[in-house]
Amino acid sequence: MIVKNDHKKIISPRILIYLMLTIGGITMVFPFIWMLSTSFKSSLEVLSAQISLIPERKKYIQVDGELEQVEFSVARELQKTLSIKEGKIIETFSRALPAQSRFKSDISNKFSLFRVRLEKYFHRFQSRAEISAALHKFGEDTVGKLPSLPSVRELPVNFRRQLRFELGDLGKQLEAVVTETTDSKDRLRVVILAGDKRGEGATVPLDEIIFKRFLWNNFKKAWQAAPFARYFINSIFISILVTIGQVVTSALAAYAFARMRFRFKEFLFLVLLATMMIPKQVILIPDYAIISWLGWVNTYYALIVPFIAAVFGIYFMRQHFETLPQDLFDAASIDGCGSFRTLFLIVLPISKSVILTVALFTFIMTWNSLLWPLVMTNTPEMRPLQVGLAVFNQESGTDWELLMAASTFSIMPLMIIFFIAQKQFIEGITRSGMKG
Amino acid sequence: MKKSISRIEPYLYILPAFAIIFVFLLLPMFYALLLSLFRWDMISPRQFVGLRNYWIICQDTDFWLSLFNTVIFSLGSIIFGLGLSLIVAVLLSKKIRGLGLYRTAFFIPYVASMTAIAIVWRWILQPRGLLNIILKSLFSLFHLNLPEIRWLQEPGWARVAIIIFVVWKTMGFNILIFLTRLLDINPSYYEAADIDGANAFAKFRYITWPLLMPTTLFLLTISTIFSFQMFIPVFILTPDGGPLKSTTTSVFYLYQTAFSNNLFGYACAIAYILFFIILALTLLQKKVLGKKAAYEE
Amino acid sequence: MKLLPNYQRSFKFILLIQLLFFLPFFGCSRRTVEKEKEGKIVVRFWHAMGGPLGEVLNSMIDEFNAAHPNWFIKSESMGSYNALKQKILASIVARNQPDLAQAYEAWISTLLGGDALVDLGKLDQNFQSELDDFFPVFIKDSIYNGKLMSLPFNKSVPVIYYNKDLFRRAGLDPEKPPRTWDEFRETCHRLTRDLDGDGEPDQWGYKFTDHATYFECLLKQNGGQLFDYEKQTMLFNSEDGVVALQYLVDLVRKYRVADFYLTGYQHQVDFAAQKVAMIVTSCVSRTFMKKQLNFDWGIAPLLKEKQRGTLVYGTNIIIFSRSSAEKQQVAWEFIKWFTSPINAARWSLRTNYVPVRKSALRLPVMEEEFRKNPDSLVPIRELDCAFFEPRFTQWLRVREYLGDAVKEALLGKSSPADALNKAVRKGELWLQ
Repeated sequence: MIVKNDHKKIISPRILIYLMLTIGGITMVFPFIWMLSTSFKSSLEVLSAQISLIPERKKYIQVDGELEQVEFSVARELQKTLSIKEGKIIETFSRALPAQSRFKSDISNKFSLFRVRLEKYFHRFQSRAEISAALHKFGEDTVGKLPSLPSVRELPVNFRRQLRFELGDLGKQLEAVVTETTDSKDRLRVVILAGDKRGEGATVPLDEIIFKRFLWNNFKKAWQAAPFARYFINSIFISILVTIGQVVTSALAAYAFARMRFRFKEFLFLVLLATMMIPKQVILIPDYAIISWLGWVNTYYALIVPFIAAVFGIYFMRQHFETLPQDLFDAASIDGCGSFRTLFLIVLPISKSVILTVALFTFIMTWNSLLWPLVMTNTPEMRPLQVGLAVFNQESGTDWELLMAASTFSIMPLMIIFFIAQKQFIEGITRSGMKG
Repeated sequence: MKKSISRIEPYLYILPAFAIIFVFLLLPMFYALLLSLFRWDMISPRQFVGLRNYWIICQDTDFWLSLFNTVIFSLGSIIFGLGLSLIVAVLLSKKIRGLGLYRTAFFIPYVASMTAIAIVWRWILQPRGLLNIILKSLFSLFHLNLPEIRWLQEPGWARVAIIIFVVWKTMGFNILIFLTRLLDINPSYYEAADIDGANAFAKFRYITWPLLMPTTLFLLTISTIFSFQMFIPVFILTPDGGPLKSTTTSVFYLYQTAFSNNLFGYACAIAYILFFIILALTLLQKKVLGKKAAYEE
Repeated sequence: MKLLPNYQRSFKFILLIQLLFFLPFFGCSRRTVEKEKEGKIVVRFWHAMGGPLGEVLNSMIDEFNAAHPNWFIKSESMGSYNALKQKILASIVARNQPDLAQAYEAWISTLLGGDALVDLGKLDQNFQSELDDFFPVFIKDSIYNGKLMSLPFNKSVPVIYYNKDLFRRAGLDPEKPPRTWDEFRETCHRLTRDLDGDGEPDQWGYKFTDHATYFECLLKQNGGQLFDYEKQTMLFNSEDGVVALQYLVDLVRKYRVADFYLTGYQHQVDFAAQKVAMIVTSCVSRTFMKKQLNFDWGIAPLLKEKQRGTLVYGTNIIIFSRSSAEKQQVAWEFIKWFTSPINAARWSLRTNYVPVRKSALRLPVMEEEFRKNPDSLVPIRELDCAFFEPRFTQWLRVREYLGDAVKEALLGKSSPADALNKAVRKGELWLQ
């Protein structure tokens, strides 16, 4: 009766509840979607300040530092024009430039950009539509027919407009300097300069790398930008050893505290509980001193040994062991099992879920810790993933597509574990109340 | 033989755990106290300075600023974090469909590793990042022009940014704990209230809230301790401690003092002051709120 | 089946576990044994040079190794200066320090406190005569309590980078960058423009972020001092300092011809995007600028008010006292080789660090460089008026206070005098 009544009253707030929860839920999840979507974009699209979840077919050009979009068809047209091997382009370029040009000296210098220069007269244009049209027209001409003109730099600067096209993968960009010449009012010249953002030469044919939608290559680039493989191996190695160590030491100690009688038991357990109150930052410096004294700085020892025992695990397991029925132990004793065998053959097998919870949380805590390994390591080959990522964050400041790609593959392992062991996870948290 | 073995056996069981805990937890605790009386840069001979380090702390405005920041962050993340979590948890407890899906959505940020997801937020908080784009388009709906907020570059906004991030990151945990407790509440209480004709607010005020008190206290304590140990968000979002040290938390200050300036003795003194503050806060919360939490089910 | 009584067997198991458990404590050796190359004296050299600069350094080290078959300089990059410092300190505690390393002056002071460095003057008595060939500022910077504890390694000075295109557009002579404070302000004024008419300038005369550095240079230009070694007191809150800071504050707040960022390197990005006409940054950035800028630009010396004044950046090179005598000797030979005039010149040409020896300037390679790029002379000329920062161990912390003081004054949170006084007060806590 009452329930039915209730149902009627609530029906309109219900929609409100769902609405609020949905908005909230999207807010929580959106940063992840944004991360994933950014990691597939090109560096210019990243700068475009547009919310596009799926990388767009529209491509961006930079006009005097501001980004504008061009239609995909125009991009195609450009692609057609440039479907030549890079070696050929450099050649064209070298021929077309006057001897004193700075771009030319750049070619001879391996560290610098190489640039393509194609020249063509166009009619004056005012709007973006006109730019598009001009570029279309541009596409119809071939490279060979280019007239030789003075270098861009010799022209009056106030008429120069800069466009920047992207070439998709490999951080390549196509720069077009659209220059209005002074000799004739309605004539424009387009000089297109293709160069690698980081100044590395590449031998990939241009038409293969222009205008892909999803830039999977970002992941490869991010993976190679820092020794992430090593970071992963370190993290896995450290986390697994710490987890095994902690489960073993916790099981032993918890078993003793739960099932054995000995002097000072209560006192020792109290000491153990008291250490839970010690904040990590208090012991960081003396531990650093101890570890430097042991000569362990920048070794696996410093990252593993201090963590192979923790009060949390002992406490958690003890609670469980205490709930086991006494009959079990009596039976084992009658069968002639020593306490060690009882622990391993009887207690542990029936405590799988507790052990799993402790292991899961130890693994996650170790995997996620930053401050300790940051302080204790100082070379790339010893860094675990989180520290490597933090260093990458500082070193590659604004390469957002790479940072997001790196964040994505760093987040993935734990996400997968979470979705596999969701139940264990949530149960463990509600029972133990762990945070951070 | 058998007897003597069984007498020392329990100690052997607890030895590994205790050895580690003693060497890396208990001993350092006292070692830190000792070090806090010295001026020490790790390589020069230790120089006993008595309580001078503590005296310097009293005058070190940067330390007090970092403490102030820490308090701001914990207040911000507790008020907004717990408040929002409670609202969401109450909504989730209304026997809604797709509970699992919603719960997972709210819980995901908590699962993601702090370092990686903080990098994502550094990107979101850029001047031309996602947050500004969204805010700008929201404002333009009402024909308002919003100037570009430099989230991580202005002292005030940088603090707000850190709080937003921390609330977002830890909400899932708070919601989960609240929700578990809410679902445990015996429905007969509400049924009784319905018979008395109580409205939704009255039900929350007189049934839900008092019954949630122990949970709230627990979360409050944990959140406070968490805020006082906060390091990663600051280190990733503002690697240099923020504009005018506005996001430098106490732990971050400790880290800088020890590992950038090599003032290890001084850093130990800071650590001890922090330890006592956390201890005092925990006890205070227990005392003040403990009374209210007394009437559990 | 049961070979042993249960209790005993159980006991053995747990003993075994203990043994496995404590193995790492006893089993590991504290020092890693250096793999010595057959018959060679190996010298470990820790530095922080990565990227293109690291490549140049390594190629020079390879050259040295090839020329000396019995010696081997093992180059190990620590990635960043902070990592290098941490690693050096930790290694000294653990007694596995390198033989040779790059170090900032304040670190050298710390290391001296632990008696960790070799007096280079004692290592080679004959070198005394060559010291006169180094630029005096570098040698002064290397002498601690009358002993030569280091030699200059990678040294640079800040210079003004300016956009000649923007100068032309504003009707200024691109070959005449500002020389004095007044000229600088006037130039900034001409270059600051509101292009889109929203009342906010979009093109600035000057932008900066590294607040302590710029203030220190202005202070020096105004005849002020940072620190008095005799009396162990800070001097930057003197009248000269207040005037210098007021000048900077006025550029931003009164005349509105300069802008600043509290953190980051955005000013360089803005310079590349032509949103600012002048910035000050290290002369080493020329390599980067040459690649990135697609407009006409030049470099100019810092300003002159009562006098010229610029700050020396970069590290020195040191040898550790715990290394064996023969390793110290090899390390010293490497330093001598690296700082010899020809190698100083080559290092400078390839990295844009300044050459540390005077005679390097007269070498044909350098003379040709000056003929081709007259700009290359700008940083070198600055060495006459260059100074180095205080070297006491906590200077880097005080430097931070100084940076904060400048920021506070720029934000209008306190007057220049108050801000500087506060920084001095905070700094004095760390002097004792």
